Amino acid sequence: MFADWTYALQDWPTYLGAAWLTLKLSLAAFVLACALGLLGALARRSRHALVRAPAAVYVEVIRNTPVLLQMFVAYFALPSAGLRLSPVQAGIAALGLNVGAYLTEIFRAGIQAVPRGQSEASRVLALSPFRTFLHVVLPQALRNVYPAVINQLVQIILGSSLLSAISVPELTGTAMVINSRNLLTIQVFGIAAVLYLVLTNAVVLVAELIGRAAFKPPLRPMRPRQSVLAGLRSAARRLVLIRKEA
Amino acid sequence: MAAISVSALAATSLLAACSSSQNPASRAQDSTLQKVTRSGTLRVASCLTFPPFGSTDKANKPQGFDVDVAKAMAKALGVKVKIVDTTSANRIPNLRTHKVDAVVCNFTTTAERAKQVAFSDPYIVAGEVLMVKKSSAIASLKDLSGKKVAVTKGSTNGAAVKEGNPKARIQEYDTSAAAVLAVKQGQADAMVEDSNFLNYQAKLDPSLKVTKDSVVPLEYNAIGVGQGDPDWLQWINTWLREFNTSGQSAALTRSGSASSPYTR
Repeated sequence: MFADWTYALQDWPTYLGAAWLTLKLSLAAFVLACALGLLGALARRSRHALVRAPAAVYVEVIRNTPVLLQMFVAYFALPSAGLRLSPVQAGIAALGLNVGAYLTEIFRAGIQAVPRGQSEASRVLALSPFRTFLHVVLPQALRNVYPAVINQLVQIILGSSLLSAISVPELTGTAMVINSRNLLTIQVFGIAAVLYLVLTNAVVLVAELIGRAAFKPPLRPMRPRQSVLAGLRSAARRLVLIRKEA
Repeated sequence: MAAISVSALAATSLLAACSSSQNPASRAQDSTLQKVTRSGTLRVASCLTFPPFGSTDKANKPQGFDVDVAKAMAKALGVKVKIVDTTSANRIPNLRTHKVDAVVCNFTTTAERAKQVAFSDPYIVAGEVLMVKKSSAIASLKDLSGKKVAVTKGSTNGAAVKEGNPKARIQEYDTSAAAVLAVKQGQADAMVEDSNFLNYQAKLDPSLKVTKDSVVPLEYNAIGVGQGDPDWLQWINTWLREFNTSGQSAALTRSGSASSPYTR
């Protein structure tokens, strides 16, 4: 049993390389998705139907088709139209486009949730519409939706596992290849699962710290601020109380 | 006194014979062979994205050479067949977790794989060749330096290419069909796969061609079963011999484009 784990860990550098690629392409896709989401949200709130319509079509088409299919289109179909993307490029484009549609709706909701009085007041203070948006509406909108946006980042990291279908050597695909070679199914996918957990938790932690530093008043921490030890202690105390009552 | 000891000896040896015959009998009861005949269904994993060995017809029913082999096997057992679609990478996990009774999916025998599963005698042989666009200058492993080469995850081909030309850039796909698509769409410069499969693909699409050189020596493909079940393996081998000598295999081969080790 122990020997199996050490044998499976012989491929450690390969796993690490794959996890690094997963992180890099997820972050690239996230940046693309944020840009698309912000543009999309603005376009969906536009006064002009000609601007609103394409954004609505984008959101509905992307949200209502499977992301795996979108990856196949980006990688296998686009060459027929003269656009040849490498597996990693196609993967970033497909993931970014997909999550961009969800972020469009998230950002739109965030902007809508900013009270109207805020922009009216800033216009009264003679700020231009652009500066009103940039300095008054956007920071509050981002603050509203920050946890939901970070959620989408986690979705991208997990969704990148589908890219193995277009031969991107990311973490899941690499684990499948290693598994077919050493056949240590539990060990190989166990290692991959742990790496995903480390990756997503690290990213969420960094995002949480950024969120706390960037917003004023600061965001409430996403989890109750209680150490594991304190949590166990209070659980134990509750148990004792229940026993006493019984 | 002597007579007593002789009869005691006979009694103990009789006992020993009884208990030793108990084990094989109970093992035979536990054999997949018994389970299949009792349940009336033979579960076979085949790769249905690998024509002419496995694919689906217009009614979405499994078809192909490997599917026909599985059907013939079930017929000989007098049971129904249930084909389970699988991929190259999932053949061994399917057997190790007892999801299927046998794997009939172009399963090349290797010593490495035989550590995890048991193989029958080979029922088909193949070479591994390259498929490229007709306009391509690639003719052998030497020409693959710096070129993108599509293979399937869990097949023997990725390692064979790396060994033959370390400068080749390997892309690993889930199915052979996806690898063919990558070559057709110019996402890969070449792919390596079973010669029977690639000849069939090149026949379907005139923009593709197959190289003459085999990338690896001849490969022997066999039926894979779980380890530790000699009765089941023994039945499959006995049946395979009948399947070949009776001309059933040859008849299937003539109707398809595959080639059996005994008809070559």
